[in-house]
Amino acid sequence: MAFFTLRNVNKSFGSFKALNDVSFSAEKGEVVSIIGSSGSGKTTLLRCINFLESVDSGEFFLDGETMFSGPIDKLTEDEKRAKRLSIGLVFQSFNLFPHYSILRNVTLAPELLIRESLKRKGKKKDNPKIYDGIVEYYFQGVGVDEKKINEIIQKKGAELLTKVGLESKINVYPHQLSGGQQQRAAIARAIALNPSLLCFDEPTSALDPELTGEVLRVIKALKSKDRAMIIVTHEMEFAKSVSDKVVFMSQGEIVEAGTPQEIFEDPKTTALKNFLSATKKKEGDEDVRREERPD
Amino acid sequence: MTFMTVTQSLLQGFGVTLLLFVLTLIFSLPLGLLISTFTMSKCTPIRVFFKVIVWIVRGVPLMLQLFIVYYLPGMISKAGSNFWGTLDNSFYFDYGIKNGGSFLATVVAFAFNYACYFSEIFRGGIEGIPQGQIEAGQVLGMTNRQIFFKITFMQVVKRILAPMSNEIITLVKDTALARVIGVVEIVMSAYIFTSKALIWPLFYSGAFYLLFVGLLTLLFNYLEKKFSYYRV
Repeated sequence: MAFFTLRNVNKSFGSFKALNDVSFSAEKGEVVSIIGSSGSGKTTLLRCINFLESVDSGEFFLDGETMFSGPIDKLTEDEKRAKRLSIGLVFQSFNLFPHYSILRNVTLAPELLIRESLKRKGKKKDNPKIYDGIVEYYFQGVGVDEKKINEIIQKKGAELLTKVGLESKINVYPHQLSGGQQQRAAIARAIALNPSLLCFDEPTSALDPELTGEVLRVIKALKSKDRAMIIVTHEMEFAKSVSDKVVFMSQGEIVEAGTPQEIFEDPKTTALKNFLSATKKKEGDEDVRREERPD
Repeated sequence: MTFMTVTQSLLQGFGVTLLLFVLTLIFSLPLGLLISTFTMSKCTPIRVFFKVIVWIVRGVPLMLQLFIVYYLPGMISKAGSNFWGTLDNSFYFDYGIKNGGSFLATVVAFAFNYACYFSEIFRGGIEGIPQGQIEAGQVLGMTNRQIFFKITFMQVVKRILAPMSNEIITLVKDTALARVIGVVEIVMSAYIFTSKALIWPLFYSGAFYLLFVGLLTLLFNYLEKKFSYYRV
């Protein structure tokens, strides 16, 4: 079975069918872009993968493990948390914690997890599935030293922020950053738990056009053989250049899937053809608008 | 009757006022948080029940609620008719406080009344936190408890500071109601002098309120400044 597999996922909101028998898979190291017009179910799909919505039916496997099989309501909170830790999500609206510095935004979750794991170790409530991976990621080769936890986590946090080009901003608060910087900080936060699947929900849609470039460059640089990435995006050029596989959704269904070449150069269905020509026209409009900008 | 004796008497009354104020806050803040979680409960019977309670408590004059708490034990059973009276001289309430039973009844009524007001402020603050904040915590593997205390609550504090300062300042002055069931707080202490044809102690008592509310205002200004390092 592939590293990432989604099988026959269905999801309705009342009588509205948001996802209709969605299946696709990806290998480790691959980047999958999901494209499609608004309301086609892309974001809902991503939210189901991240346990923010429950599917009505369908299965999801990651790295040989069953993430869900049918609705997730029957999973306990601890089970949900354990499964979630191998998945990261970057939101369209960043959702940074406004009351914490950028560094604290990145270090909060790992610190809570590591402290919890040390507290629970060997006790009845011990849940190695939740904790071992993260402790190993932070303390590989150093050995867990209670006194140095903060130091090590903060060093790692600073490293991650350097990776997204924010090394000079680690102590500022989210509202002091531009949208692009905030999104890069959110990306650093999402990879702080070293997820093996990283999801992006329209990561540049809330940004001014001139700020999308810096974020897209960071996302591109995250492509790694250790994880798979799923990117919901409206940036067609980006999808074309970064993806190993592109999935086109329309009205809750996957209409076409294939390599970027197949999808962008040789669309088979009329739905995809129409979508591509519509976005091309829109991008052309945007170029004109950008040129007209006085600044 | 000299200025000094009046001052001394008013100070004693003000001590009762302050104690009432502090005890009400100590009990009503956590109770209010608890009630707010019930009024946001997903379980409809619980939610409706507590919304009705809040509606009643906010809809009936506080003075009436004082009477109800004070007379309720007697209405329930004959043995309870002097329920609060028996507490008059209990434990520390005889240290300078006459009618300790009335004082306790006032604390109960005030704590419950203010808990209901606070619960609505908390509810507004909690519901005002964008859903995305909670989801961000969830995808980072945080427990609901961690999300509440590390993310939601920290932001709620900033959001509710202004309405809370309003309500708390109102509480300072509401304590004057306690005299209707015999608590000798500062206004009552001043009123006693009218029997000796002295009116000015009443006006004088106002100065104590002004001073205290002034201090509270400074405190809240300080807190607001303290929380201005981030924006929600």
